[in-house]
Amino acid sequence: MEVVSPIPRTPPQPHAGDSLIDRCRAGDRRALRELFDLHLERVRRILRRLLGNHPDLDDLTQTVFIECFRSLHSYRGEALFGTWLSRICVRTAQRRFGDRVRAPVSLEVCTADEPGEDPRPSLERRDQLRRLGAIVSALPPKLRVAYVLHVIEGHTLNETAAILSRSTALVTLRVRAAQREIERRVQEDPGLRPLLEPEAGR
Amino acid sequence: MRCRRVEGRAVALLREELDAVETLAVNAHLEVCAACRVRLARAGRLQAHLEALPLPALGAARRDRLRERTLAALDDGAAAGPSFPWRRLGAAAGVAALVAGLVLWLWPRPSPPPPGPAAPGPAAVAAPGPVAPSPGLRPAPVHAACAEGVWTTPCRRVTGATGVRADLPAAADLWLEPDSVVAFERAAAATRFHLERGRILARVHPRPAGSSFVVAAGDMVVTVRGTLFAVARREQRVQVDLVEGTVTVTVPTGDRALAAGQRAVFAAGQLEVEPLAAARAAADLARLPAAPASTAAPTPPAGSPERYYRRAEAARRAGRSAEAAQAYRGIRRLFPGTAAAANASLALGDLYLGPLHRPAAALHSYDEALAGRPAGAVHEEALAGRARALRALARPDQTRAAAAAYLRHHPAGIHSQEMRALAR
Repeated sequence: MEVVSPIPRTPPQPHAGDSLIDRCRAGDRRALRELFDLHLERVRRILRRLLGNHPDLDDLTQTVFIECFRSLHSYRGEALFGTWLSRICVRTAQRRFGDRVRAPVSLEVCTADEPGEDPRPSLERRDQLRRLGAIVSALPPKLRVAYVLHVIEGHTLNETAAILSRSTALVTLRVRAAQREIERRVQEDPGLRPLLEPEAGR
Repeated sequence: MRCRRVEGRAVALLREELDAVETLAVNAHLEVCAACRVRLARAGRLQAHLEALPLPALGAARRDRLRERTLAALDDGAAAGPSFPWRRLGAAAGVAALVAGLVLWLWPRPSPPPPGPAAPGPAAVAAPGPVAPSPGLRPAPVHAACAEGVWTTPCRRVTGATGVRADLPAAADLWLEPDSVVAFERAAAATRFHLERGRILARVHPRPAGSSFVVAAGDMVVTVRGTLFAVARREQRVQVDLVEGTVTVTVPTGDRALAAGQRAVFAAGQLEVEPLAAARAAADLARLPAAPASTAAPTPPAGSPERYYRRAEAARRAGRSAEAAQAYRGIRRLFPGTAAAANASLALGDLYLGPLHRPAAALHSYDEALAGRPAGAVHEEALAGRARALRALARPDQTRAAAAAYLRHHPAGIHSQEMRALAR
């Protein structure tokens, strides 16, 4: 039997304190800046994982925060602020799923950072990850959102269901379908197949 | 419990998120189902690899700009400001620029050549606090795309041990040193480069009055009009090497004129000027020698396809899609059977498919481009455009066939990933 070790849960994002939210609601500019800095990386990460290398990522990030700031009055603290913000990210990304995005193109051949170092392993690893990311980006949007939120972003199935306003059963189905599709695509690609094997590509 | 229920809960189980009852049920199933054990292990590995996917870091300066832009937009009541017309045109603009740019590169200047000799004009190097956007330019979006490794027509990211000569339609020759990251954006009469890191060497051709050429590096902005210079950035240290022409360096403590053969270094709020090493200047000069006068771009003759291209491009950049389409149609009508007509058909197809929202007309245009160019880049773009048009027309079978046709002809083409998705 293969040994399967538990994956440490991604630690929850820092909870935006109530006082910070209250100050933001009161229009405190410094608090708005604090909230922005606190969650900027998270917002960009989710958008990027949902949309890939979207050329308007900064615009979309801006849109998310503006919607967030304007809707703060409706945040009642029933969910973690991060979960609430994720929902805004997903809504924003869903409006852009139809956009055509150019895949990243490597312009130059990279070489070793240090003389004498063999660049191939890290190049292969990078290329593997890039292609794996492309497979996730090519998933149908509904599957992609469920998979990204649950598997990559670390939301529980219940949280993902809440973010998507769908049942947990449906989210579970979508995650399963996404997993199958990714695994199938990885299996089809001889260069990626080792990723499914123990200690591959590490 | 059945396999399908276990599969969807694999990651939740690995993260120990399931409640006790579910955990027991899943474990009981895993005891007897080897296939699920394998799937579970694979799901965990994939998850680990995906979490390792590198995400570009956001520099402090860019984060500050984005934050202030967001707060300003909040005050303005706008969710997002307007983007460049060419960005809104999206892929249509990109492809059209790619195709028409080959022709237009010979005539890149929007107005007649400036009077006087080709001697470089004055330049200003300013180092204010935050980067002040040039009129009509919004720095963030293109910058973001480049920083994240997206290569669009006007935007490149360069890494590696060898430099690369950039062929950008900016009335300038550029050389990017290894491991440089630079983004490019352009408005009507303004050209702007964002140097994220590394070194950019530029020979800027004399530019018409009213136009600007800017290199932004960290908190320094270099505005140029016709000169050979280089800007290098390593973290907060910015260095300007002036090989030809003159520049004025502006820092918070005052202005300083630089002459050819001088180097200005701005670090820790201090500006220092020193002689530029002769070897450095010679190397830069050898890298981007002055172009012979005979290569100066002539004005395209009236009635030529190039003249129509200029008109179409100008209209397209300004967001006047209908006018651009009319100019492209003019090329097709007046120069049937030529390469220019095929290029125009392709650009027209992109306009129809994009901003004009006429997929049927786009399909027709792509077919015409294909008829005119049975191979090559236009052929590849037209095949891809055809598949997209069919998708927009909701014809799934034909979309798959068109995507398969693309993959047959261009299995490793730039759109192959997208076409594979469409072919399924």
